[in-house]
Amino acid sequence: MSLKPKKVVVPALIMAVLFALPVFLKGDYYLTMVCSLFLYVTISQGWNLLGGYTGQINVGQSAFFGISALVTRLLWAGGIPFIPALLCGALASVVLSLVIGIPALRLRGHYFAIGTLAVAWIAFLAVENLFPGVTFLPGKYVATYSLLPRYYLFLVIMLSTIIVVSLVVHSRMGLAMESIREDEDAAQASGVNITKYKVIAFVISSFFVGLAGGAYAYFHVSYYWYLPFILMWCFEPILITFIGGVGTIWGPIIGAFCYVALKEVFALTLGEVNVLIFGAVFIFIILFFPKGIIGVPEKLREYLFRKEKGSRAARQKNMNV
Amino acid sequence: MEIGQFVIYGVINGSIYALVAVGLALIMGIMGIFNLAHGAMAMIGAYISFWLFQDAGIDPFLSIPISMGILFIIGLAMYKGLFASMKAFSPGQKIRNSMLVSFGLVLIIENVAVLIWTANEQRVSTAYSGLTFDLAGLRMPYIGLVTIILAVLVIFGLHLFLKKTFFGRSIWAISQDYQCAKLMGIHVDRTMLIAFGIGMSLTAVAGAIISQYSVSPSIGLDWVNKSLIIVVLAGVGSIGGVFYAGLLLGVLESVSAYFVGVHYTGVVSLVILLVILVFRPQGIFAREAGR
Repeated sequence: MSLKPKKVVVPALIMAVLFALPVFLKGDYYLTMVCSLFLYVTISQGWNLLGGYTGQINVGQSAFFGISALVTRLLWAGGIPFIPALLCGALASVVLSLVIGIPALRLRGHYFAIGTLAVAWIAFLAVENLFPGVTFLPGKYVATYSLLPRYYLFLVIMLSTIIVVSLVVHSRMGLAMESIREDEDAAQASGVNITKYKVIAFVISSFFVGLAGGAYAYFHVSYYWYLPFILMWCFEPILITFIGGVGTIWGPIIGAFCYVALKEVFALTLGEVNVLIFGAVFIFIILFFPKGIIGVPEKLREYLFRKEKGSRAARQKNMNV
Repeated sequence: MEIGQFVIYGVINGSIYALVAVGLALIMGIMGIFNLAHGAMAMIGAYISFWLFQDAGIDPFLSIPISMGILFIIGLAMYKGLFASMKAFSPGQKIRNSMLVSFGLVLIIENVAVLIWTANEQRVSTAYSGLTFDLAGLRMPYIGLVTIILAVLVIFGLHLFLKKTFFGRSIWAISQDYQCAKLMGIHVDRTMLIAFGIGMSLTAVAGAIISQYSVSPSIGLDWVNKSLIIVVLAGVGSIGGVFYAGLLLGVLESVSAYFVGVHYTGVVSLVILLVILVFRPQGIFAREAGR
């Protein structure tokens, strides 16, 4: 990548604003919301690397998110310092992705989607049965609980995810991944080791999703053990990536922003039916804006252009008649 | 002898699974639409027969034609509104988009169902609900017997319909090559529309039986899960195989409930699914590899 001044200054400015944000943002409500925004950006960007760039639809993200949350929480509550516990959690997620990925990524199309969905179900059912009930933080942790370190943890995880994913997709490896998405057979015929790149994408994706899962376990004082395993964690990142724009770096970021904002507004104004409206919005986006918000300007231009051309053609037709 | 009783219940459960799954086998296996809202439709079917029983006093088995008609119309609307625009997509894109759209649909249907019918579990209890008869020393519920008969009739009826009639064959033709089928003079749009409606109306048969066990708005995803397992076990594109795959799953689940406890039956069936996916992704009962 060539280093143009603009390319350095703008991200540096954004980062500076994000690091300074807690100084201006008073109140736990907003800080919590920003934390969940960062969490969503992380898991969606992770999904985007595998789903958006490599074209492998992973519907089992909750398993990777959840297993890391579980491991991190168990180790951390067991007395191990948080950072090693978090890394162990992410490692568990990576190991799971290798165990699942190497056989599953040989499958194509909907088989991979169904297989990962099954993994997510198995993980959910197993955890629901093995760990019934709620996990509470030990008292000494609750006494020192503050939002600020959580905010910075989420921020650092999110930034590292975005940086790593954008480095990967702009490298030769990213090119190989995109070629797999476009045409597996052609990629293979051109000498791309498709299984290798799929597994690499899967591992990177699960590592960051795992970090996010560990941060989730760090963030919450108490939650049901099975909560990080619910299927919402599979579909939310897909939804967010599609809202923003699939296969782009900015897509999951914009998507997560809109998602969190919409969810908050709907939950505040619509009450019980908010999920219903949400489903409708989701369907609308997939059907009419398959490229997401990123694709809206292009679509608009195309629409205007085509309309003009169409009307000219129609006029010509009328003249001929 | 106790294990034999488990097998009988397994066969009955398996027939219900197969009945739910057969519509999905048509819609996903042949038409290539990954419809996550399939289980939610079975749930609607179950509530319709519950309603008809509660308010009009119609027996759930006799109300099947009515609920089939209603679901057929809902299916037509669903296809027209949501899936028709995907007909010319490549298979991968079609599956991905239809999966996402139908997930949105699941959210909508579940919440509407909670608003209409509340989140409580309901069931239809008829005069013959708990009655059983003696089958070689084992208990066989009357409902179970009717379920098995219905499953055989519906599944093999659909199989013959798809193999022997012009309409059924044109569905196959469209699934193989959309453009070519169109050039051969098949009315592709209408055929797909009606095939989708048929797939949805078949869930009404399953719904009528589910309503006699237990129905609540959240059962949809569970049934989709079961149906997906069965469609994969049977092999994408195989209709007759759905029946055997359903029986296999039902029996394995109920026998495993006997051995490992009732909480892990879901895990057992999903592990079977993963093993099948890895070692025989074309399914047990399909001849050629599906992609």
